[in-house]
Amino acid sequence: MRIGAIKFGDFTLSSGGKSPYYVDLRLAPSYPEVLDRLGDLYVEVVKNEIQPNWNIARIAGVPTAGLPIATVVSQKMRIPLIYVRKEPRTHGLGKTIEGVVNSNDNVLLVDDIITTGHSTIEEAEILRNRVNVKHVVVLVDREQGGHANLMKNALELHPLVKIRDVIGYLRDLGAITTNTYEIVANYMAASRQDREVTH
Amino acid sequence: MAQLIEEKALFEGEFKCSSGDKTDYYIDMAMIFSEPTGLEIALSLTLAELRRISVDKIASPSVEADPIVAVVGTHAKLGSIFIHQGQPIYAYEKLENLLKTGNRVAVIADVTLCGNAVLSAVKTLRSAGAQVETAVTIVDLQKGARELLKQNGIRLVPLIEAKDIGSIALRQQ
Repeated sequence: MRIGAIKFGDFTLSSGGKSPYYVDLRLAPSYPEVLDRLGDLYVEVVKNEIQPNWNIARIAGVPTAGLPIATVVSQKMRIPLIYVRKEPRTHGLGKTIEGVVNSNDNVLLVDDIITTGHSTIEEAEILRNRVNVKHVVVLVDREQGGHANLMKNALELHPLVKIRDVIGYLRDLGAITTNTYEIVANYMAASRQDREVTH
Repeated sequence: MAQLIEEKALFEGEFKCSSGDKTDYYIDMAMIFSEPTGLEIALSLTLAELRRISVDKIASPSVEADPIVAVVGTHAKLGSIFIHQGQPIYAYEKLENLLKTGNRVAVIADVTLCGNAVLSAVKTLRSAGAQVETAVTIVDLQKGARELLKQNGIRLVPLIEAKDIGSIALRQQ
């Protein structure tokens, strides 16, 4: 919040939906100590939750916000980095997976945030044409169905924090008002009901 | 570094400028940044170059440069700013706000050809109040970037030039 990576107000998400808060991890690299610390936190989750049962051959960053974080994690763990381009290049090799990769490598997906998980699933499917993808690490789980949707697609989500905990913490700290906390909490309850109706 | 590029990142293909100028080879720095050793070599060369100039921030002009800019930022303890195709990547933050804590910015590119991508990032940065005098590029393919940037008050500092890469130098003879 100090760096403005979480803001409260009226926002439109990339899915088109409205949200009373917005998390933008693209700002983290503007504060090198924050990016470095985030890298350490991702490494901790990867070492504790994933590596004991799964050998990671490559770390894939999801551009735009996920790529700088994935690079820092790749460097700290000395595991090679790859990424998927959003738009195929118009020149050169015209491929979509960038970096050194072998068929059937175990690839860990690194992103900043997860909402419904649809864009993460798309990313995983592109990678799955060549490699194995099973785990996804994100900083914030917005708790709007991402976890369940990923599971349906044989992907395990490892969030560093959940938004409910973030807003609870900010409220206890006095960084946001009880009113703001309730707006976000109500929005989350409402978006859960929406999902129950549509599914 | 030149040898590493020759071995891992040099491909048949072409690079095209908007001016129409092109090369008959192609350099893919993602192949270098992908491997921890390659990334570290690029990182230490870039850090050495940055020590010679005084800047508050660094900026990436394209997604291809994002990995090197991110690690240079954490190691040099400089904030990094990302401009893709001339547009800041931030959803709800003004570039002006990010420049409040220091506005001297160096652009760091992976590859420069004619310099258009760097220039477009510099223009965006300057219009938000940044002072940009230097651009560091890992590889300059010597197709006009230096001249174009110089005309716009930017000194281009290449770590490697096309002529340093053996097989490219041979092609040019």
